[in-house]
Amino acid sequence: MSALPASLAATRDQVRHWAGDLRAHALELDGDPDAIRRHLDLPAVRFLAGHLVPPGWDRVSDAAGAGPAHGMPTLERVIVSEELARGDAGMMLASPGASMCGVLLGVLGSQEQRDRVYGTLAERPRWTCFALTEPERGSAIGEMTATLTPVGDGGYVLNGAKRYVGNAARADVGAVFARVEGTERLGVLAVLVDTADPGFRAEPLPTVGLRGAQLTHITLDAVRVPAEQVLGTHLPPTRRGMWSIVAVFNQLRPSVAAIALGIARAAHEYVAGHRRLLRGAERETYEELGRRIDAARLLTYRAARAVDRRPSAGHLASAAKARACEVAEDVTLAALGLLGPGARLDHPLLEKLARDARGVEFMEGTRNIQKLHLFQGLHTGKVGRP
Amino acid sequence: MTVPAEVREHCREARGSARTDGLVPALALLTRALSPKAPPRGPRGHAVLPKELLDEFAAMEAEDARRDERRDDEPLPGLAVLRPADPVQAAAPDGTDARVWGTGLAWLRLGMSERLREACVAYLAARQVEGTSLLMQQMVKGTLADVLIEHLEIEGVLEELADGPGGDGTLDRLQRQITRADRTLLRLLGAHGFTQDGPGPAAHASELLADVYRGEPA
Repeated sequence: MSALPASLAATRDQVRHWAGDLRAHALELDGDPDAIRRHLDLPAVRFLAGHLVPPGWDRVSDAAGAGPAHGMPTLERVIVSEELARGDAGMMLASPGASMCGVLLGVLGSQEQRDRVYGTLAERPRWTCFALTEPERGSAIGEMTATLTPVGDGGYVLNGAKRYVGNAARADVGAVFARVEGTERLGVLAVLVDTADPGFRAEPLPTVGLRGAQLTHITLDAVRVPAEQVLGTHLPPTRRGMWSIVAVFNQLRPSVAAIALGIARAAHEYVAGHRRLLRGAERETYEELGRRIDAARLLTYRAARAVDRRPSAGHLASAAKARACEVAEDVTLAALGLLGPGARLDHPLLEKLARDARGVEFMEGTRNIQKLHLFQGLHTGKVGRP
Repeated sequence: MTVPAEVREHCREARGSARTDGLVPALALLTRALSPKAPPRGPRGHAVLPKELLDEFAAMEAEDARRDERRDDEPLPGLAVLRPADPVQAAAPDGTDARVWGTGLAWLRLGMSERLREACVAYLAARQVEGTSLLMQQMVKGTLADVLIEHLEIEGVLEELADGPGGDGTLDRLQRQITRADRTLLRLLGAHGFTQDGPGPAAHASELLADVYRGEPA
């Protein structure tokens, strides 16, 4: 089934109208990641600031932009992400809101924890961050060295470092993954931290693209984690550790695929707007790029539906993420090619899209990580069988 | 076209300099050798050149009616960009032999891609996963071998180009091939290849060179 339910099609159409607002500020944000603070009143930014509120949460208002209306979180997030990233992925990723933390809370958060975080986010535009990757170790759970030391009352003290974490320098709430001291390699927990804690320090890491996301390096020096900030303690032990981390990534990967598709579409549409007379081989190239975007979108929708049906069904998500990122790189490079010599200088927005397209590759696992995951699915018969 | 022996030597030097010293020193070397009197212009009048050459060329171009639109572009520390303020006027290329320049640039970019490959090998050798170097993972070995095949093929085609005709889009195809090899290597570096203090900006500047000096679409 590829057609969207009417409710989701309505969401898509609503969000699509907001893309232009984001694009209008894309280059400004590329030059200054803090520019997002000047655009917090844009409908798309307001929408994102409250978007990932789970169904059942009492929203601030019924106005457009106040939150999701449907119970298909991953597919809805995919649709919204593609449309807003088509406007500008940097503006989208720079926006305040629950973002990836919201997905984590959906899997691992108790009702009290969700109420607390979303209550904080409802007060005013606030940012969150999601800290998993470590310097020199990447995102491999088994290599993680950030450590939670128990203090005896269910709480912990957190030490370590994280790297390539978006928005951490402006976040109020951080979700951090760390290993519990004295446990085996995979004894990893997710905790919420207050970024105002004196032990939490985040420094921006300038990047080649997606500058709005403002990646950071985080130092965690004896950060206090009260017991009520430890995620998943209300769940059975089998649902707290790797299972939950896998479930979170399975939900996030289709969204990253959608961001990649949004970037690809923006580049494709840019060519249409600036080269009206494409002929011959150029026309064929352009049309083939469009078909590749459409095919990757169908794969991404399938992946989102699979995860919505069963959170552990993430193999399609890996396939979608790998393919969409490939398409984004190829389309942006080809689009520059279609605009002639010096396109990178004469078309700064398209040049930015080509830089941004490289950035989605590193979010939620590189292409090789997705391929390894897919191989596991193939080998165990979980994917690739009718 | 037969490329003169001294030009071939300049190309080899540019490749070697790119590989050992980096993009800006290599570009300075190539520009001084192949376009000593004026900035080498792309088909639409753009130029990318080391900042150290800007003043030298500005003095020589005093009589040139064409003026560049100056901005604060700095794709890489020490690198400057010239954009024609009047693209119509700039459309006529100056005296630089575009094909010779394009050949030199392809050698330079090959050297940069080889430099990136070496950086990749060193970075991955130092990273461990489950007690083993990332470099020793089979997928990583295979990917690096794929890139090496690209580099060896590009080198072979460039050697032949220096000896015979080839105005059939070969240079543009080689430049796209180098870009693809660079992108493959950057993916192996993970987010390290995307930060300003990693090798990403140099790879981006190399793509910019290919973009500015490539041929017009057929």
